[in-house]
Amino acid sequence: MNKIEYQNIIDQLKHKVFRFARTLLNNNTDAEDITQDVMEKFWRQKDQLKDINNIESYVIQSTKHLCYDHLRRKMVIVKNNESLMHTQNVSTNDDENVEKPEDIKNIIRLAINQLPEKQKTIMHLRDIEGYDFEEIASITNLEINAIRVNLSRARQSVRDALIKNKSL
Amino acid sequence: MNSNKIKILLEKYFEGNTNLSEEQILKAYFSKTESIPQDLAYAKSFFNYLEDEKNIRYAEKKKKKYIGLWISSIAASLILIGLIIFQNINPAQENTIVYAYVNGKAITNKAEAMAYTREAMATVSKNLDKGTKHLNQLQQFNKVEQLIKKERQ
Repeated sequence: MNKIEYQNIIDQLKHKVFRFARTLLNNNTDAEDITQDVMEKFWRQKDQLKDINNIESYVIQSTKHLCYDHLRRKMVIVKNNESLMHTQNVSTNDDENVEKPEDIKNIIRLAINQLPEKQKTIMHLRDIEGYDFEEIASITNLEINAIRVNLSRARQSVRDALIKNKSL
Repeated sequence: MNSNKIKILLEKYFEGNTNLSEEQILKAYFSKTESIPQDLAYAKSFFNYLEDEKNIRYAEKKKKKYIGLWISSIAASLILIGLIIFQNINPAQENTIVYAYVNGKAITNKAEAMAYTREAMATVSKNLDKGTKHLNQLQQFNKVEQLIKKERQ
């Protein structure tokens, strides 16, 4: 792969990588960092990628791994700081953790963010990027049936959050 | 497409059983239809959200992390360039040995330095002579003082 080929692929993929990381991490800055990491990793491996027939799903899969790792590390840090944070949390709890969505977009974003990782991943790949089930299967290493089940649960959770908000 | 058909399609969608083209129909319906039944308003919000997310673009990020490093490497390069230029402008100074500084003036000529050194040595020895002369007088005085002391005893 030469530089121009690489640049073309990256130009097509970087927005997808960023959107995916943004959904998984729920944080723009972290998503930007991950996007940069994925592109750098991709550049380093460009010579070995000739043999990979689906570069896109390979790159999206790397994004998924990097995001999951990022979330694990964050979780460890949060756990380590839990005792420290506890006293502070008691006072700030009302402001930060209780959802006060200003608009419908925030309700949806919050609902998606609260989904289990697997559901979040599948819903993003299907409903935002429009991948078919085979592509999602190759990215997530899941059976198509399991993908359908997770997708259905994810969509229903978001719908329920929207309907519940309306009735309030 | 009428709203009843959409409702059926929506049910299928939430079951995870729609294909991509059916999902495309739903997206198109909710983005283009003006009057959507009240009970489907939630779905319009939902599909609008997905559409907005789909249009988000990655803006090339400035490498904040590396700005400090950049500034210091530029500064280091400038200093280095400055040093090289300075040495090229003053090539004579590079190989000259400063033998001495006389009243802040650098002496780079060997003979001149020798002359200054001799002069300095002479000054020192002259002053040393003066000093020892007085010291002799003092010793003389000491001897006399001791003689007087002895006689008194």
